[in-house]
Amino acid sequence: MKEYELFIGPQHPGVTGNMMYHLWVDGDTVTKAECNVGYLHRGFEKLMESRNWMQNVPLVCRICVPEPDVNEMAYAMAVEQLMDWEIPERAKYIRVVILELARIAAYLMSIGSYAGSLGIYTLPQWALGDRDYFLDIFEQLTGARVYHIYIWPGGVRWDMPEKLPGLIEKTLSYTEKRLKLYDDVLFKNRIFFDRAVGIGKIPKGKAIEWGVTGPNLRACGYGYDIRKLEPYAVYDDMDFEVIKYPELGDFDVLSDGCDAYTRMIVRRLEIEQSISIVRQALEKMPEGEHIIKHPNWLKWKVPPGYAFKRVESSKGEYGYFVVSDGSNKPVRIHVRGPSYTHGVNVAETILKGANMADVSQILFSLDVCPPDIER
Amino acid sequence: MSVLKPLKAWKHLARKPHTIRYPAQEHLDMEGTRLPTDRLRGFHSNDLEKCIGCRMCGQICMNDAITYEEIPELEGKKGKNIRPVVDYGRCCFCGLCTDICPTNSLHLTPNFKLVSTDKHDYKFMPTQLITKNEDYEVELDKVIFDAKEYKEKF
Repeated sequence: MKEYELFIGPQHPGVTGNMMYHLWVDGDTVTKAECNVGYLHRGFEKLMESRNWMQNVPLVCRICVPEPDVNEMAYAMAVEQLMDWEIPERAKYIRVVILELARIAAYLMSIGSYAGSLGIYTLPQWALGDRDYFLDIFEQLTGARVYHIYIWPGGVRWDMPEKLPGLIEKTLSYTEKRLKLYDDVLFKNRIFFDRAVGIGKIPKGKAIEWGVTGPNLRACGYGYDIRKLEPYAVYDDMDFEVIKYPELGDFDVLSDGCDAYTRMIVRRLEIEQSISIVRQALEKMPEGEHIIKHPNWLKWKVPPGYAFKRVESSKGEYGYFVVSDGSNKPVRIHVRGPSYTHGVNVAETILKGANMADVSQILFSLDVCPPDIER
Repeated sequence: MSVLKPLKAWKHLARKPHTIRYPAQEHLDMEGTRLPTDRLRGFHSNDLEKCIGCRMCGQICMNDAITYEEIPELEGKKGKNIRPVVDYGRCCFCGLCTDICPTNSLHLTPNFKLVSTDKHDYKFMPTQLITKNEDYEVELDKVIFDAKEYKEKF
């Protein structure tokens, strides 16, 4: 059959955002895929060089829209290391709470859009509706629903309001209840088993070499989680197990891992894990200061040196490499984003040979966040 | 695995939708608190009597959203007689300007509603010390949309 070209995106419900995939298709089979980006390019890394240390905080969160807090966290940790600051204990606990809440919100969005790509349109409505309750929490904690600008170098911007733990607990127990329904509609649904098992396989031996991280790597059977390997904030105080293939709890192990099915099950199980971490952090949260005193922002100079800090996000591993020459602006900030590897080289490789109907579910199961590709 | 269990979704037919009829219906959180709360970062409010025109807010603003206009009525008071004018086409509501304000005169209010077809309406001089959620709906009419309209209170 004659080969033809097909463009998915940038405005297409089958891709994860403002990016495009250029596909070469033979009949129903993809023979070649090329990732085409540039629709979101704002030049974050270069912009950060012209702004002072504090002005960068409202900018870094824009690198990932569904889960902005990880960027603030990695940037703040790198600056703290350069400044040699020890942040207050309470701030560390509040950071864990907001990071995990953001993770749940991001997973809900990811699961919703994945279900949409399978044609189960009930779940996107539910998941985005339930995510809104988390946005309500963010609004009361940080003052904004999406871009929180809350984790600052030296602590967190504001203290946690007194009655917020009650609201968080209520939202978490609501989410737990809803997850059972999610299981019935998606995760234990016959359609999911028939469509997702064995689709979009990342070769297990190649996963590390390709730079796959996060839930996608854990679905391949590697117990790689920065929260465990290099605990930041107070993750070493929290009691949780890394979820990886083939330990999938109540869910059946239907394939030998690395496929869309396992990736989504890992995400589903990590929502429960995050819920338990938030509860532990709220329980153990000490009283005290939430931020240390900043120098005058306009004259704030960071000692020369460099720092590299990593955090675990819902998409994978984020790393911030920050170089300072002792002036009031950074010399260079490099962002290592997970979506760059997942969305470009991994997607391009595993889309080869896939069925046309599976393209969007493979892309959604990788959970790519386009602004992170075009930093 | 089940074929029938997904049909449980049908019971949602009897549930209320997530969507609220805003602004006819109030936006409440799970515990019934009215949103937005005081912490929401919306439009600025600036106490013009307290403000000393130090230009710190304009310097920290990375979007260049803050410019200044002279108010002759404030001549002779402490500091300079310039006051910030915010362009909400540029403002990203990060609130760095309010945190750097040495006199605490500049605040972000929970008010975020402004509808206009004229782009110039989005650039105005924030006035009034609105800091609480209860105040903002009453006080918005008093916000100055043009520096020239400013008249001294006393």
